[in-house]
Amino acid sequence: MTEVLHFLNAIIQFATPWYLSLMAGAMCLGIIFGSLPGLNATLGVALLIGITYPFGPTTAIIMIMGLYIGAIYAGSLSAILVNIPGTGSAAATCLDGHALAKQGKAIDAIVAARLASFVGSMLGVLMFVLFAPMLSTLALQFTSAEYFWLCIFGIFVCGTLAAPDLPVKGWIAGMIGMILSVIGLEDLIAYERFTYGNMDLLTGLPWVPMMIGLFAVPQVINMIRESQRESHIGQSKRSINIFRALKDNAIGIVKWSVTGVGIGALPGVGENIAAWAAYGMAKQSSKNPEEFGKGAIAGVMAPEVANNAAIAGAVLVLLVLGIPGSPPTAVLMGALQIHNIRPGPMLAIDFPNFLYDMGAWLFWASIMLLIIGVLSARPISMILRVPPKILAPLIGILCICGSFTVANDTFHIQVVVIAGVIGFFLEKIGYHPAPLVLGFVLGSLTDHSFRRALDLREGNPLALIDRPIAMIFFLVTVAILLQQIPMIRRLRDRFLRKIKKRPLENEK
Amino acid sequence: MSNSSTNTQDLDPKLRTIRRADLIVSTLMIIVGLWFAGDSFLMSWKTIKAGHATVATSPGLFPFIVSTLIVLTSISVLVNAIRSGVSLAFLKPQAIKKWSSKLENWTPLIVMAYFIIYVFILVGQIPFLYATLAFGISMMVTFKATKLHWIILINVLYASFVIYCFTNFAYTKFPMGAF
Repeated sequence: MTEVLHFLNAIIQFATPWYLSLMAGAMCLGIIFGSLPGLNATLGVALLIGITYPFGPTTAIIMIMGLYIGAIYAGSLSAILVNIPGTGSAAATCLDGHALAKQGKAIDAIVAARLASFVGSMLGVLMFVLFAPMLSTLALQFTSAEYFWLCIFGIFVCGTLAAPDLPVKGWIAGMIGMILSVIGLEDLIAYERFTYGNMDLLTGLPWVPMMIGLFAVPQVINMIRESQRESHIGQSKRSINIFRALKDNAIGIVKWSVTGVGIGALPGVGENIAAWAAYGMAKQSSKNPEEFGKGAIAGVMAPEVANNAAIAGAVLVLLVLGIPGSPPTAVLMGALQIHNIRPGPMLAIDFPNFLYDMGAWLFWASIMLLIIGVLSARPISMILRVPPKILAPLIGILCICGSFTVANDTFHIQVVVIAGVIGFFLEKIGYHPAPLVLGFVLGSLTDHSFRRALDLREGNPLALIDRPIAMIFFLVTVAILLQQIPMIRRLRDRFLRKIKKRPLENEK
Repeated sequence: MSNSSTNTQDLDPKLRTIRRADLIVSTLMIIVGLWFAGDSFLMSWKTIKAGHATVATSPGLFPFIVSTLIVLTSISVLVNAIRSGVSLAFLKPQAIKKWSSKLENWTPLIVMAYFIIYVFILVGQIPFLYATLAFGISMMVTFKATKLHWIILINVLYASFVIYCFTNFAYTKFPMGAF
């Protein structure tokens, strides 16, 4: 109860025109960063640190949180409109969001994403305030073995869900991503792997250019290719009752939010897996799972609810444990430290009200997101009116400039082009880039966790599965993989048929 | 992991094209997987001391397992493609000639070529703004995006704006070029 009172007090304290207008401005910037392919929340947060440096910590962090939430939401805009996730967390939104846009329901998809993001953020804030102690206790129980299985679980689930042709191709894409992530000096003993004497590869392949290359370049090519044959996207008009969709999926929304906060609270995992996990949950629990990937409104709402709810979880873990839950929170950690706020167990002692202040900022950011998101939905959908033949080269230029900005290095833009060319051909033959990117982002954590778990038990492989949570993740992952093997599926169906027949025989 | 063994006649044209590509790509994947597995195997497998800690696990173990799995799963994709009845007949000169006669098939290659010329040849040789303008204008002209004067205007305004913003707000130092 005390927590809620502190939180309400903080909400009132920050309800001033100055703070709210600053947050609104930063959020608009975040929406631009998130919606433009090539730019993302991490880059936006990083750039804003420099701009907000002269301000005080409260002002700076309010602006950063506004930009972060705006960018995570806006990733869905480009995902829906041009099938390029502005942020990695919006990759799952592409599947149904862009399918809806192609059917001429872009505005519906944007409004659904908008409302889902708002609901996700609000539920995330609620859980941030209420369940902070419980989540931090749970996250503390995670060791290397749990991280390893969690990463494997995320990569293979993503591979299974995203593969348009055969699930095994999604897994291969995820594994290629993992192999690419281990290139360079590994972080335990600085051993050089797969660099072949190339100095640029010593620090590994840069992940922002890889993501831009794999997602954006194939899309630029496809936009030009499709513009020569047919209209890129149908005329946009409202035809779905979004509020009814929200009502119909009310229980699901709560589940996706809990999943989002829970996964967001797992260090290093972040919004991307939260979105995919929620998408998988929505598909499995749907009465019409065959509609997913073809324009199911729940397929847009689930990842958006989860990725926005995950922000609360990621921020919570950052503040309580001092471990960033996602790439943007890793940058946020730097921003906090610049302003002499050290995230970690001592934060509650040094700044007793900071957790509640953060909860209040997240709350106001969610409210802002609803207002700004609704107002910006139609103007941003005007991007549809720009002919793809004009838009595609402009996106290409932005991707190259955006990638160069990360490190002022031409190697980064070379990676964009190479990854883009490979990504285009792989996508054409059924290897979706999403599991590849996820494998790439989580690969080093997977490797690190795998080896640490083994090292702590002197190489005993049982170290990976002899803890309850690790065992659960292991069994779930194996079950998901086995389910995709036709022989296993046939055996399962035969077994289920037998079970169904047995009561009837007993009745006779 | 194959869906089912089907005759090539039963496959729809799009799926047949994918299965044909699977023959080549899965073979390449097997080679790449074997390459990485081989390289991982050559990494140190001895117990390594790092300061006071003893690091027993080889840095090659994880990539070795992953690349072995890539080989195994790629074999399953290859087997699936072979069982679907497709062959490498699409690599015959006649088939290639027929494919190359369609302008539409060249579009991705042209776009890729523009990206490669922009990034690997122009950037670093001429100022970044000129390289960007050359990329944008030539691509729009090739695909007849709009009238030439509009193409030039759009590109000049857009490239100048983007480069100005990145230079001034993100402190980016774009390469000026050798000349």
